Amino acid sequence: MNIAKLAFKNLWIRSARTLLTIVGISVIIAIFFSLFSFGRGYEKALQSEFSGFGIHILAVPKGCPFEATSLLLHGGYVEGSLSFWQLEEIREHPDVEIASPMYNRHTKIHPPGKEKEIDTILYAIESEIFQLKPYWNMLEGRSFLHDHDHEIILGYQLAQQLEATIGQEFEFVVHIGEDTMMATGPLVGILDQTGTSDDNFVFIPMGWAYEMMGEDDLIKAIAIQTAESASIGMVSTELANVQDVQTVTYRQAQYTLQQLLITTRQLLNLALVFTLLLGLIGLINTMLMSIEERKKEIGMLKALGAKNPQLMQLIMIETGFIVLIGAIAGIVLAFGLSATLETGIRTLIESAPPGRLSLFSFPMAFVTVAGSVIIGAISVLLPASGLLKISPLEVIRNE
Amino acid sequence: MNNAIETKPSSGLSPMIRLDQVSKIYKRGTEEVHAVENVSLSIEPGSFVCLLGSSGSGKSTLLHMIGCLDQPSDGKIFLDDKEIPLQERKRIQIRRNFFGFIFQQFFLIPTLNVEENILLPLVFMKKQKDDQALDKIIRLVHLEHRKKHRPSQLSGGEMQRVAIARALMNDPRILIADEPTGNLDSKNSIEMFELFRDLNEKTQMTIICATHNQELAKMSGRILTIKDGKLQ
Ligand SMILES: Nc1ncnc2c1ncn2[C@@H]1O[C@H](COP(=O)(O)OP(=O)(O)O)[C@@H](O)[C@H]1O
Ligand SMILES: [Mg+2]
Repeated sequence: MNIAKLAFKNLWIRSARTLLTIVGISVIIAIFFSLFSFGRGYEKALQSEFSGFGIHILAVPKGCPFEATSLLLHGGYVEGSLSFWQLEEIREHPDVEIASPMYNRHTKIHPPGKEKEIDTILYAIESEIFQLKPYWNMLEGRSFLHDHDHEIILGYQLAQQLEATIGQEFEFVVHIGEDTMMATGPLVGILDQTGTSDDNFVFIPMGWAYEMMGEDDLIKAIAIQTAESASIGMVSTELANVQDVQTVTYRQAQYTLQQLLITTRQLLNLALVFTLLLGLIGLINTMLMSIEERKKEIGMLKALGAKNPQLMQLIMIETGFIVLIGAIAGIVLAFGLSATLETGIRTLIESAPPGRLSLFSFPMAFVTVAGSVIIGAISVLLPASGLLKISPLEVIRNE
Repeated sequence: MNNAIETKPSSGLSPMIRLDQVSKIYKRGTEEVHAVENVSLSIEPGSFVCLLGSSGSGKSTLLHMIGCLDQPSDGKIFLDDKEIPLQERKRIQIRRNFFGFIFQQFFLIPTLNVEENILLPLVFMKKQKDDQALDKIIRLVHLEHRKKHRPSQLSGGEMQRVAIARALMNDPRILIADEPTGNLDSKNSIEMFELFRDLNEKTQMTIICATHNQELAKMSGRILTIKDGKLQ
């Protein structure tokens, strides 16, 4: 027998209380760890999205430009559209190197004859987009040869989900105004993983989209690369003069999203502090109660010769163990709940970047567990200091 | 060490206990309660003494002061002619090394079995478990067949015997028992006192026991009657 064994036996006696405390701590740690990991993932996702971006300026229909940008980046429906004359005007600007129109709209895609159907976004693009998105590489097959070919390219993840093979025919939904029609074409290429939303999309040549939909409501945005990166700001301002066109530079978009991130982060940090505070108060309260409740037992142990440091050690081991198990359980819980949490966040923040928002790291998990135990030990100092005052007489007298 | 007693017994012998004009006054608001008043007495080493008195007569208060659990408001207590010091640290040492305690409540830890409960003081004394000593004590309190049982599986008499064994584990020179039969029926109470007598004869350990039961008190070697805090 030693103090540690006694501590475990004590926890065992109060198994219901012990379990409840562990559950409480694990929930707090799970929230804490999820919030922390989430922020990290968000930041990383944003960074990777803008790295190696070849699109300098995005021209969109008048409206909220940042909303449109974010929807374009991550998929979504943009109200309004641009016309070919606007595209022409943009292309005529001397500093514009590439101006590539894009169409995007919700679609459902499935291999013909198969039930499996996936909701995603249809992008109509011109081949020039490959220059604007230098991180696009073909994993299998090839890119589009002619702008009017009826061919399909799939993003990496979507291809995996569909278990797609080159040459296979796919059927997908095309919106024409209020109506929809089905279009079919062979898969000619699969994009390599980009880590962006593109991994989940269907791509077809712009010419084919034009054949199906006509020119109304076709061009949702124009991706622009300028000849010199130094002139991006100026070109953007000038292009904004084209009627009914709004422009966003990728720097502005990045800045806006970063601002959003900073705000989100601040909120998260606040939530983190509150979670910790809550946990701390809960723990101190539990330990206070437990010590108050165990005055008799502790007084008895003192009468048996237990000294204050030994009793402190006893309480520390008990708390340490509870917090340790609680923290580990919390981290496991955070792993388990991360998928649900992400779905929730995505519903709340439409412009959330693709990829995993939560980045779990084992060193961080370790730090969280170790930190919790240390904080737990410190937080129990106050209630445990009450131990010092307990006199064995208090117990013994109480007959 | 200005005439203060050693914190450890110098030999295996029990010390002589002497109280000189000891009083204890409790303050309840403005009212003063004279729980013990001017008590002077000596207890010979190796004696079995009973403090007999009705409830509230001051038995517990007196026992607590003798056992270094509480301090007198006035007067002095000597162990082997050396005064018990005032510093709490030294008092704890004396308590650990000289005294074993038994109370009306058993204070056993429910998840520990009989053996573990008995060994509990050693956990805090940082002493190694001595199987022979343990066996001897368990035999002394007749719990050989109950070693691995939990307190909840024991009768009241057995639980109190576990508490006695636990008090003995530290090899005390003086056993202080405050109404140890308070929760026991008369048959078990008599057995308890027979055990004390047996223990006292075999080990020459001083036993001081408080009770309000005159019949039980008669089983001891000496009765000190206390009334309203005064020795009669
Ligand atoms: N902590 C205390 N504070 C105030 N009065 C006390 C306290 N402990 C005991 N007393 C009083 O001292 C007297 C003696 O009590 P006690 O020694 O417990 O008697 P006994 O053990 O013989 O029943 C009683 O009147 C009791 O109410
Ligand atoms: Mg009493």
